[in-house]
Amino acid sequence: MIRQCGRAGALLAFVVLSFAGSVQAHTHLKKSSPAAGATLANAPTEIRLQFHEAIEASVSHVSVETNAGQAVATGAAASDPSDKTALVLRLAEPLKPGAYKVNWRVISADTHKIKGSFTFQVRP
Amino acid sequence: MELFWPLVTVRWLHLWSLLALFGAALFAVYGGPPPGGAEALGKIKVWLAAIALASGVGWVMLMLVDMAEEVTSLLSASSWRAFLLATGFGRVWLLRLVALGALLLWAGSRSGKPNRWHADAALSAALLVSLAWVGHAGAGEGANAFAGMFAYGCHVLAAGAWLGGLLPLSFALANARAGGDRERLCISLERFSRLGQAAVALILASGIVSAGLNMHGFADLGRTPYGRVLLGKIALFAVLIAIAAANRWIFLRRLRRQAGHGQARILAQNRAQIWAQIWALSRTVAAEHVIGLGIVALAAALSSLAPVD
Repeated sequence: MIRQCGRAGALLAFVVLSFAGSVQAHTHLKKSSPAAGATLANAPTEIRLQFHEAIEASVSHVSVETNAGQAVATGAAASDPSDKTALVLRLAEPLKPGAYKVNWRVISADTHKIKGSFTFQVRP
Repeated sequence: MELFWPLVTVRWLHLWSLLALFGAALFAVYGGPPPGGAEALGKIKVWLAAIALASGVGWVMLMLVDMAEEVTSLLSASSWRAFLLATGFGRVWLLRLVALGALLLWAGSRSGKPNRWHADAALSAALLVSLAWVGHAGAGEGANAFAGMFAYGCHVLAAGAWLGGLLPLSFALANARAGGDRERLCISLERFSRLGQAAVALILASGIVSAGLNMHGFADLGRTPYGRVLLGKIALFAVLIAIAAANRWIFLRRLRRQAGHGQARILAQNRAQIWAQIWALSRTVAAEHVIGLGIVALAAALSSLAPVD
């Protein structure tokens, strides 16, 4: 009985873990607009972050600061109604030429927190 | 603010108290309350419900502070509103907190009255399964989410049926050591053992499906912190199965043989052998308790870790 259970379990483990491909749980930043490290000719009107999985916008946070560490005026980060995996931050005013840093902290549907930052530049 | 260990601790207390409550209630449903332990189990049930509620509240508070990265968020009505009403997991937690309060009120209201174990089992089972919506299983979409939540539900219910049943089993063993009905002990042990075999199969199958959904493959087992904790959990589970197998195939079989000779033939030597088997079973059940607590602690750590890098 125990031996049979063990064999069946080992076979199931082998099959499931060998073919496990589409991993769920824990989101990651897939891409952003502006992209990390980008140099833009035109100032963006919003920051858009795209994640692998759905995120909870009401408890997530995104902020933008200048190279000198000064906060840029923005609205609150909100989810895209047509895409639960996207977080959008509208900028109050067009950005002036210079370097900017985006700090983000998001909560995924499994309650876990992930955070990060990236920079981009607006060309004069 | 690093809240990993406080979160693991409240998750562990929450999971353990609900598993113990569910398993103890289920034991009473399928095998009757343990001889000589029904009253004590009724009191322990209230404590377990209180621990489940307190750890649930603590879990929610720690999550809020962790998400906002500010302790002052606990005093902010807008933070609570955003957490509890505007997120999917927050709404599930709101319902869970109401159900945890109802569980404590229900358990407390039965003090001194006959226990209604069916209701305890049903409510604690619902609370255990609902954890699927606030963890890794709930993060998937479509068929993956369904498979993940179904596997999680099977996993916690099977674990509860086994680990939670150890508490009433300890009472039954203590009663037999004090000279209580050994035939009834054998019946309880056999019922628990049969249920335990089904629980092991279900834990194994659902655990493998969950691992398959959460990891890329075997390589993750040794590579990521999640994989290493999972390996530890599998190792402890293997030890638990070995002890349970010894109980089933060695000690219970001997006890059955020795106690089954009939009262007239229970001589002094036979009595001593029965006594030795009951003591051996008491020790191994206690060991299962300790290992079970360790496994639940590792399960709590797993739910706090990222399955993949």
